[in-house]
Amino acid sequence: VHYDPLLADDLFRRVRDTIGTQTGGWLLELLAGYLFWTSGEYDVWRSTRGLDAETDLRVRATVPARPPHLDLGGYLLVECKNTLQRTGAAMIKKFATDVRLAGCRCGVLVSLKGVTGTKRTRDGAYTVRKLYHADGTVIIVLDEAALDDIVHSRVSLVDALRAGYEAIRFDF
Amino acid sequence: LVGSGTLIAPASYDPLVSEETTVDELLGPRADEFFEQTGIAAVPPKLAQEFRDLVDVSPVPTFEQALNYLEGRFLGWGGEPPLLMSATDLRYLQEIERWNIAGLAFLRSEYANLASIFYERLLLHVRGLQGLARKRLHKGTPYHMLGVSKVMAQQLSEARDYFTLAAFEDALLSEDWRSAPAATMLAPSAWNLATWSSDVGLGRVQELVNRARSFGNETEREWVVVSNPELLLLIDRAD
Repeated sequence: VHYDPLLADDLFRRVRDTIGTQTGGWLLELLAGYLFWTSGEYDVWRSTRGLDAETDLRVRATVPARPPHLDLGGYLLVECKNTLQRTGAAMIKKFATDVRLAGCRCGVLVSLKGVTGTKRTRDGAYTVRKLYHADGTVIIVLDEAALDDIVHSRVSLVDALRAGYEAIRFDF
Repeated sequence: LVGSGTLIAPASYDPLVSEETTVDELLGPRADEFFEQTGIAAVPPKLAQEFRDLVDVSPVPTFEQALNYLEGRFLGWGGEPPLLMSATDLRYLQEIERWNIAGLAFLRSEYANLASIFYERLLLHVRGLQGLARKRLHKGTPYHMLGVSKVMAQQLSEARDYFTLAAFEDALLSEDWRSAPAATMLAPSAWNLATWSSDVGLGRVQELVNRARSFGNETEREWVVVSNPELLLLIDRAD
């Protein structure tokens, strides 16, 4: 289906209004799924439950042999966090393990409050870089500002993913 | 625009629709033939005469003109949009119908993208009205015609999603939804043969309806999903 800016904006507003609640988490999953689905590049499945892990969204390039960004691969896992606190290193490591064990190259962490640590330094921000340099696992973080840009069409989802990936790879 | 009299279509607009093409021709035998040949179930235009009287459309409006005219009417509603199942129902349905008549002009493969944009815009307005009214509005026509425009563009998977959404909207209104145009499009036909069976298509609609009814309309999350069935379709894509 096509991207409806009014629907996305409405969802985003509700996500922000319900931060830290169960409903807020559910709505953020829905918003992230809607953005991937309507990007025209990905198919989306919700709540993929494996034997030892549960993933909020499983995303597959519409044409798996030709993903929108080759370096990110044809399958992505998406984890959504609509909490009052920023997401920490421990959670990122756990998510990265799920990404690795699913044979994916890339995971997208949609965290409204972002991750702990400042750019390039300790905690969550450092973990993201360490993971990439250790074995090429890419964890792209989409925070409230990034979502705002995507929802209001200032940048496309695919471009936001590319920018996130390049910031990790080229260390800027 | 309404006061400007005739609306001029550029010569390059369409070899089938020239400056001399009238709405009568567009909605008459040509449209009938088109829908007959393709097996596409269109929502039949009921207000063609009213649309002609209002816009004085001769020849057919350009895309921009039609859009400007129709959007002007939506904006004219101000803060009191019509509500489904209320005394203003008829007014709402008439606006949808006007939009539909203008949209028919773009339902050809070479203008499929314009048709999509046209009906996406209609859906945007209806969604805006929903938000203002805090009331679910029936969106069967825009979904259905978006499906038809996707058929024109040979995007059959997307078309199926839109017909599913349209049939879902119909099913929320009437028990007789299986005989409505959208459900008809979910059955095997010349355009979708072998891509899916009617049992699968209609069964999926029924599942969505059951899920929507189980949601009710009480909490915020229920309201947002039932009012925007794309999200219901997304939720349905779970393991």
